[in-house]
Amino acid sequence: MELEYRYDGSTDGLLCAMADAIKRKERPKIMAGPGEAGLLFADRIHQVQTDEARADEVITYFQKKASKEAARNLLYCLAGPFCSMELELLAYYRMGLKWGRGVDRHHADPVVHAVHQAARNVGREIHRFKGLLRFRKMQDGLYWAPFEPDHDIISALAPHFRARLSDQHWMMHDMRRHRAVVWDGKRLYAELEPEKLLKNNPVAEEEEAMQQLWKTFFSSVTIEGRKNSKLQARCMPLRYWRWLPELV
Amino acid sequence: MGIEDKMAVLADAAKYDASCSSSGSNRKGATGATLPSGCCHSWTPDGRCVSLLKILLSNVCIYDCAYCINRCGNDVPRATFTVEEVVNLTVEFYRRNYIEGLFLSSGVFVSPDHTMEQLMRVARTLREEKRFGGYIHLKAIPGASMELIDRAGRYADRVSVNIELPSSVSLAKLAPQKKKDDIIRPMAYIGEHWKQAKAERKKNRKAPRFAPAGHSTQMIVGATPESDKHILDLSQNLYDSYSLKRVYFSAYIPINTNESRLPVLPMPPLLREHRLYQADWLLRMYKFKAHELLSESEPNLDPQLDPKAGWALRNFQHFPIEINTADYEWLLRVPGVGVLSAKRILSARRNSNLDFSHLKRIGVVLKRAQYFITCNGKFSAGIRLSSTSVRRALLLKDKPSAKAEQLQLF
Repeated sequence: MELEYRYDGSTDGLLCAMADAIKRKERPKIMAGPGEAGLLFADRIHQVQTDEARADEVITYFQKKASKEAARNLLYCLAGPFCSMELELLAYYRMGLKWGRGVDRHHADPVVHAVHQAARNVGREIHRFKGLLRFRKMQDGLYWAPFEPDHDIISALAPHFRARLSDQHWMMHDMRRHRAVVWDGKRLYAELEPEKLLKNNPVAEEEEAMQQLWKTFFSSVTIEGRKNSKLQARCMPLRYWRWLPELV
Repeated sequence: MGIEDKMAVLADAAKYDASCSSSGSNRKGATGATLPSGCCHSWTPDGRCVSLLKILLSNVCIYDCAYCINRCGNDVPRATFTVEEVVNLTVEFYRRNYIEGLFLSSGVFVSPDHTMEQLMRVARTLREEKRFGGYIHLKAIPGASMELIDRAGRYADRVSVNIELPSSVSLAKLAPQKKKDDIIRPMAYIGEHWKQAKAERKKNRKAPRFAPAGHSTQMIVGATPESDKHILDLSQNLYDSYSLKRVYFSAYIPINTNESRLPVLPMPPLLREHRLYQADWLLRMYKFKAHELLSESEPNLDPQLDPKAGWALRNFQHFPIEINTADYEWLLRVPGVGVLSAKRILSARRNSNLDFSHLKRIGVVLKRAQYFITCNGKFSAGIRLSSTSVRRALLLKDKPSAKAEQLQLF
């Protein structure tokens, strides 16, 4: 039986699709988002209903059955471009339910390998931005951090900065996805209209001097005799440079 | 002198310190916290990472060490930060997420004790007044009193002393005012205290910390005639006797060109430095001992091959090993298998027998490993097994670059 699942392309939609497959004991040949090609001769097409609360349950259930790490792997994969690996994610989900915390020991398995690889890419970018995010002080005291990550990592990144910059008012701003997270000293929340906080709010007076000091430091610690720009670009890809004051 | 100019002078003067690690400490303050894994914030055009605000408190120095840019005989602009300036810079940079913390060193001005006291004051102000929880690395000034070093260790995450040169003969020649004892004594003291404080904290979690990220040291490679064997034996010794976390090597860059005690090199011995770091990794992570890597008859590392492959070729009678049965220690000794892949092999083979395609997925570099392993008794390289033919094959695979040939130094 050739079975096709169609979902709305969102992460929540995919999680619900996975839950459907488990519950109905079905093995779809394809799980496609909107606009993606389906099967040529599908015997049946199942339309998945997206339900946010249900998607959350899917993750919690998986964490209970498999492990915290496995649930994190799944979430990281969902933060990346997952549109071609839906079936692998479903297989990984199944394996997690079956094997419990042992699932991540199967390093040689193609499915586990693919999931680990994708999760690692996202994890790497999260770690990178722990270093590469730059805050700018605005006139009203807000520290604004614009960035353009490849993956949707803003919510995974925010707790790190809550822990270290807890006594200042800041906003992380994913310029590519137009999403923002704000910490106001007490609460961490998603800001739907980041532009509102930036309106009539230019950078603070001392900001330019501080950036200049940072640039001076940056150029002074370079050792000319060891110049290796290729290594620099490998560690810090050029697409990230736009928001780094020391490199613009 | 304005703060901008001071920054230019004092960051420039600090850049030859190799250490930039910010790992190994777990701390949280009102402003700032450390990340146990460490974190790089930027990379300079020389490819080195920027993780800490690496500056000198002052580049005024009463010593006249031949290799150092800040020696008193040099005609360079001199500057000194005040304690408040350093504290402010650190906090402001930290708030913008430019840095992970502070790495503060200094030239020796007035006296070793006076300098050490100033360094300690910066760390104390950051911790006590600013409630700063980021990473702090302080240099211990050779010749400073142990009491001051003890106080520095209470505020800093790492306190370290540079051994500068690999032997006391070289030290006497190039840095006559620094005594070997002035360097070894604080090193031993820090190592001892670090161990004690760690043990105390296991019993009582409120016991005071002492440099929780441990200590490190640095030596210049290529300025003096010591062999690689001498350097690695010394490193091994430092790890064993003083519980160091890291030994850094810095390829000698001729700064003081008018100095007759130093050799003239066409370019810094970067490849040699790289090979030494590879060997150092084998000591720390792969359970190798220095005497296994080099011998009296072969006192220098092979510039063409990495030290692990070199060791495996010299001990070829132990290979090939069977991936599905070999124990962890032996997996670690296979060229192309790292700590991570060795651990993955251990856990993956509990589920199924492994073949070459599995190994590739696990992350083993088969390009190198294929000559040294079998999977279920199969050998895949398809060449005659002898150390000379494998050596030839390995060299063919990683094409030796033009830099691979290092010129004779002496």
